[in-house]
Amino acid sequence: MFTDTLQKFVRAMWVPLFIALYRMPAKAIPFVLLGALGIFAIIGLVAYLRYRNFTFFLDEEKQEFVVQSGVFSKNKLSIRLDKIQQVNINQSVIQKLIGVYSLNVDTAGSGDKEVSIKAIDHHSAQILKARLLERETPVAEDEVTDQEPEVAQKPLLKISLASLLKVGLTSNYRRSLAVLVAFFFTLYDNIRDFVESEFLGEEELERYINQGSSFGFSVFLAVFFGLFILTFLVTLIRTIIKYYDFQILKQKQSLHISYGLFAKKNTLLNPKKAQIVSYSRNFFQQKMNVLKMRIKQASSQEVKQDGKKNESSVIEIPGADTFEKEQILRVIYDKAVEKGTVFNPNYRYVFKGVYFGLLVPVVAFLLAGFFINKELQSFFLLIPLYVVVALLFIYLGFKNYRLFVNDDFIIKKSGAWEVQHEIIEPHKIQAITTQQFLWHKRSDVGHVILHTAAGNIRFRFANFTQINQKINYWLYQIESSDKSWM
Amino acid sequence: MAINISIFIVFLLLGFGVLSFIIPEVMPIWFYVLIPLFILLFGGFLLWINRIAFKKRGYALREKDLLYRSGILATTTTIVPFNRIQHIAVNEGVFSRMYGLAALEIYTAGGNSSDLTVSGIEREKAISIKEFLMNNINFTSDSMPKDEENTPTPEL
Repeated sequence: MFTDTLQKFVRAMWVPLFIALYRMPAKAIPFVLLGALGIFAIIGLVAYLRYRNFTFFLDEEKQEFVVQSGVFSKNKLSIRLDKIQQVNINQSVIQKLIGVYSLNVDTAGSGDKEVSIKAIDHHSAQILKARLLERETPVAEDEVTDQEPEVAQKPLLKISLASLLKVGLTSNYRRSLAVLVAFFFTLYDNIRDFVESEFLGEEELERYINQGSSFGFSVFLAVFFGLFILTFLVTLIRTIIKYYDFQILKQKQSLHISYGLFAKKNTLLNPKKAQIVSYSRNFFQQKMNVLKMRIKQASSQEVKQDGKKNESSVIEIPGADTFEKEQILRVIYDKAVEKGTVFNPNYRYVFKGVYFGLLVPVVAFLLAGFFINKELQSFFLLIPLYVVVALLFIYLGFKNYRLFVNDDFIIKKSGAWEVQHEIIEPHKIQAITTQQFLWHKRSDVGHVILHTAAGNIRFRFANFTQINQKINYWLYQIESSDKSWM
Repeated sequence: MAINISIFIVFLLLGFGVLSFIIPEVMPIWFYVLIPLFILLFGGFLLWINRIAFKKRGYALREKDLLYRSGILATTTTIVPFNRIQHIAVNEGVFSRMYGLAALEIYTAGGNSSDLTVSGIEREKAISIKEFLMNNINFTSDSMPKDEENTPTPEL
């Protein structure tokens, strides 16, 4: 609890703290130390009070999990056991040093229904896990030992280091690249300012740069490639650290997913509560037979409006091969996932891609080259290349955009470079929206949006009559079935 | 909606009036005539669009679901089955109350995009629909995760 409070304090205060420390004259150091001691003491007191005022218990008769917390304002939170979607048992680096775990309970309701117990020992964590998600009482209290029962079971999926390598190399490069580019630019700015102010005057600098322009260009190229390789390396390392020893075990009614090199994460989820299951792979990943899966559960509205993705409402499986994917789907859905009748998009689907991805950028670039900056005209030769690549992507996207419908599953396939399949079951649908633009009425084209608790699935430019028939059938399935979506 | 637009236009005109006082130079006559004219025309246009939009709006209470249709350029129809409704609220704004109208709000688990708002129906009808839904839908335990909160229903 202490470290947790300390961590929260540091996170909130690190900016002023840092600034204060930076600007400190040497004389003030003893005061600073005294102040720091004082702050530690206060944190210790706060942590102790929080610890004393935090209790949790399981209400058997009401089938609820009750958590009471709060030093000044007492908070009592009761969660119905059948609303629990997911239980996470994680261990950060600090927690590992101390030997405790943190237990998070995630429900489908709004954000404030989520519970986080920051420091719990292994034994209690195991018991809670058994009780909360699987709703079984252990045989006898003293028989639940620390020995993990999972050891006896063969894992459903175990991602080897090789697969992780494959995945690490081929995915998520965008974020790492963006970070590196930003870093590079700020570094460049700083260096330039530094050089200008300390050593050379500005004209001298310009001359220096112009003289060495060919030299500069090769330097630039080297830096560019360096960045490129660095991006891959960084992505790879991040992937390995995050998903090291990724395992999925099937335990009675739930799936147990564990991963992590330094900070270990354990997630239990009830497959019945999964709303959308999707798997995707890009071109390279397809060649290496590795794909990424995501299981999306019901997420609260506040999370969606924020724009920030709630980490616990999406579970990612970074690298599975085709066979393992089939296995996982079979476990989640209790049956094999099959593709049914195909719906193709109307050719009008292509218009938007052509317009925004091809015409507008090319025309804008041409105009800029003629009127704004003449130097851009040297790049005009690249335009045909861009056109070819853009057309290829648009064509691939169109060819891959499909909706497969049968009685049990609705699968949407999409994407050009990264092909994604999204699977839902009809009874998970919360509401259906159809949209038809005026000018599509004659050509019988329309869009449909299937709303689920974990997000929407949109299929556009469908044959409106046909898709309406399907919609009627889906409504019939929802309204006549007793199957719960949660 | 018409009232909203009128208020908006009044604000625009007021803004223009204030602006014309603030600007130190005296503008030519056409400035003082054309701009308010444009604002009024714009207001008229908005009202006309609003009228068309109103004609295109509709809702249908069927045996097992509720439909709501709206939109001028694109007809958007949203269907919410009864057994997917999370909770229902009847909302009256200040102006709606003057005319005896209310809005029926249907919330689903699918987030804001699938929540329905049927506005501008008579208050009594809204309440009766709400009663009908509350009584006839078998709210299973799964469909009400927010059973701890109270949704305020200003029915007075």
